[in-house]
Amino acid sequence: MARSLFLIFLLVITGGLIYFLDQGLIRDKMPIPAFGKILNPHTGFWKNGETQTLDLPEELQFKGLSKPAQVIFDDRMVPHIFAENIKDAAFVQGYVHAYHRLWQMEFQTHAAAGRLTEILGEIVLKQDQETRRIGIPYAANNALEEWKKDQTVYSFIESYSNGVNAYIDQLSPADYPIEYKLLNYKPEAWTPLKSALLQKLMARMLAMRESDLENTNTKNTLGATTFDQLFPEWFEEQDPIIPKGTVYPPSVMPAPTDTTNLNIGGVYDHDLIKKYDPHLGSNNWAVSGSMTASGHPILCNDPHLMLTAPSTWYECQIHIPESNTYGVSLPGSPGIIIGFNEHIAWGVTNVGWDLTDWYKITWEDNSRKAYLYDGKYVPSRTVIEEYQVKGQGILRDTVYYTHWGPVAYLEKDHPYQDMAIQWVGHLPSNEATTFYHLNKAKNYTEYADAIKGYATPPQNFAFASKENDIALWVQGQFPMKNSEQGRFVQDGSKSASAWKGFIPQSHNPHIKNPERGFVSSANQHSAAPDYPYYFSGRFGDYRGRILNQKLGKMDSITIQDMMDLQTDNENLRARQMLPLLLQYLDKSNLTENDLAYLKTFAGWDYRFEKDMVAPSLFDAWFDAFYDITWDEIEALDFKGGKTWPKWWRTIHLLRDEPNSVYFDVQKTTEKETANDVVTSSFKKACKKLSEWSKKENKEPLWGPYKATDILHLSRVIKPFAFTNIDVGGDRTALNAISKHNGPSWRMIVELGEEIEAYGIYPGGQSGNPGSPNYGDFIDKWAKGEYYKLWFMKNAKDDKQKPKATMTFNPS
Amino acid sequence: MKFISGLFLIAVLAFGLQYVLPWWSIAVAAVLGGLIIPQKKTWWTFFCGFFAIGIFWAIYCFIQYQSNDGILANRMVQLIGRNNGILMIPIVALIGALIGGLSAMIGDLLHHTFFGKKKD
Repeated sequence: MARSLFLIFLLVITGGLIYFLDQGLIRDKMPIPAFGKILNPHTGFWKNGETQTLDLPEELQFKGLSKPAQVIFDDRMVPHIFAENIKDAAFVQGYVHAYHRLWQMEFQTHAAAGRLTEILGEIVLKQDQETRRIGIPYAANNALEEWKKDQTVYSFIESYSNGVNAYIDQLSPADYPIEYKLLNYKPEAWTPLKSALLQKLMARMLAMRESDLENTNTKNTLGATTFDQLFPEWFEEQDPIIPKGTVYPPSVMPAPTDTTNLNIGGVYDHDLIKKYDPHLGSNNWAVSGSMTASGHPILCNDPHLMLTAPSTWYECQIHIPESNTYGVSLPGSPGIIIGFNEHIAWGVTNVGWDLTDWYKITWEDNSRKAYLYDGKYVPSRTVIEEYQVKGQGILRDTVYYTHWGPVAYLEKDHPYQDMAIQWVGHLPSNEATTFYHLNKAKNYTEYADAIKGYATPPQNFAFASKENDIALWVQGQFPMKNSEQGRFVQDGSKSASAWKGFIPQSHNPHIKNPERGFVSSANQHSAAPDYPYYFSGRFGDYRGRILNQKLGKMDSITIQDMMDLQTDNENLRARQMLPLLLQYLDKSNLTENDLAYLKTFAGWDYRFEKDMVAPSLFDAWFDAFYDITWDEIEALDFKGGKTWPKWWRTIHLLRDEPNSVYFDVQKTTEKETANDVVTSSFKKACKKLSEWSKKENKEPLWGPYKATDILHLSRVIKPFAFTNIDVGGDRTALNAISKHNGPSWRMIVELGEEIEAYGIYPGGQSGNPGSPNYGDFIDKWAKGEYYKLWFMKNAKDDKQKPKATMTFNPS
Repeated sequence: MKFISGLFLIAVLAFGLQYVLPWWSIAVAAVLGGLIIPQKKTWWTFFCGFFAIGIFWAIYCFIQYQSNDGILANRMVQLIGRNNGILMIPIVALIGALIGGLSAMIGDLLHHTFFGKKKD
């Protein structure tokens, strides 16, 4: 009897233990991992430990292929794909993307679909709701429908999808990427929709940045005059992408019919939703053969994105009989996004135009079934969103769509309550076609044709060809707006608030073979105010100017010169601001410690190098000066959602208006001057550095002080990240490495008889934290070094020794 | 001798069953082992399962640790705030050993329930 009871007891204990280890738990909304699945040596993390050799068979057979294809992996694990047609190439690219980056591909597209709750449970419900309510999956479905209309391109995307699935289908649980084991779920089938979701994820990150509500709050509080003084959209020293004085065709925008104020009044006094880090940016330029030592044009590009592990990019070469293309691809998407072929090279930077506008909706009644529009009530459309929440089952949420777009927030007291979001990215468009054609373009005409239909996220497409043409198109689908339209939340009950159509594509700012011998962009304004259409948005104010200054002085350019320029740490913001700060600094008021810090500026050339103290001190000083100067903005008595003056405006305030009232600190009774603010902010900066130094027990050198991190894509699995990378650079230097963002791919291509190309990105080809190729490029990237890219002419090219070769056969 | 043969039986079963069952095949192996070769005392069977699976998993982990130069183990161990990945081997082996021991005891008790023999 006792034995039977003991047996039952043992069965319960052992069974329970195994169940817990196999399934994990959800406690207080936090998932507890399935330790048994993760740790066991049969199928757990141990199986994800890779060796230096490729873990794939040399020969494989697939139904989805029409002809045999070959992949040659070089010693950096870059696949060089040799296929007989573009569909087969896409299939193989899908397979190798999945082999190296499957978890990243699925996680990103789950995020874009608002489906993270399926993996992580209720803690991410708000994030998923936001993604769906602002219409990211809606936009992806619209894109997919558009793709289907172009059968050639769609079959290419389907073939890619089949390649991804060919890889997924042969996986056993032991082969699942480590993150699946940690989060206890399994990969699902890939679909063309997922490629569309990835495209919209990028579009959201790059082209959904707006400040409508912040501007509305700030303007309605400060008044129009003060608002205009503090937040001008243009200043004279700007050096736009398309130079001043360019001749444009006249505007085709219809004259406004209703000129009354269409912006809404009031202040929306609530915490703001999380917005994307606006510090993204990029550089690209092309120099004509007349400026280079070799006489051949050179194209350079370094897109600055959030630095993540695995990296945004995946290096790849795609060789088919009609074209041979090399560059970086996005895992989840076929083709090459930034790269070159045997005839041309291209690179992209982001265009900061405001393509997202909010409209206040007037509902007929609480049912939200109809809303006011030009004096009549028109019906809204209801969409029920279903969320599979891990550990909880299905939750449902209703979203109302107006003709503007979805009404994202209905919650009482939400700052965006009952506002509809209109976004260019919601409209049907076909970006996949662009890259399909651009990858095989042979000259300027084919490049210009390829990018014509490209809509969002708008990009500055820099171009250079062997024929020695250089060009740059600011390409996207741009709404026509009245002056300042869409800078503020507008009245959604009037058709006069609508966009006035779209700027004809041929009127987009562009330039070809300019006199000055180069084209360039660094996220600054696309064009000067002489451009016939109004645009606003977020633009870079420093990198573009310093880039053009430097390029304007160069000749006999070599590839080495271009490398030095991409990794240049000279900071224009510091060059303009430091002399002013020093001029207003009251030295009589400083302690010995302060004076010692001040000495670090002696002879400083405004370079943000990693082994200097001066950049740390300038950075802390500028921040403190900014905060004390703009205490009036901080004091605006609503919690969130206000606009902050730009850095250049802050510098101009000290330069041009040293007696400005903004230097007076509101909460003190004395009247502070510019001298007081400069001096007290300097003391504050010295204190900050001293404290940092004491805590970390080292000198506040810029590298360790800035402490750049490359976080794991999940943002939470710390051991899969690379932290405290010792690098120089700054957001306002060409080498734009900040704490979390930086050059996510550096590429230099010289288009001579033989293409000579260099590139590097801060990561590694493998997305597996257990692989030696997970972050093997990072050290070299941090040092500012490059890899010479092996642009194979054919599969027999023997300039380098391949690491492995795989053959894909049709079955 | 009976202890050694029990130990080997469980280890061999565990090795074979991993190809047809998920990771908890070790529990099945230990139950079968305890059922086929019960030890003199039930708690001896516990240790038989404990060491069989513990040693099997430790060796299995060690081989994979070596071939990966400890890259992944060194990352995984940081999740529990340590730095040396080799530590993952005893931790994992201990979990396996515990399941092995408990399961072997179940086998032992089942043996005596079904075959009814009294222990000496």
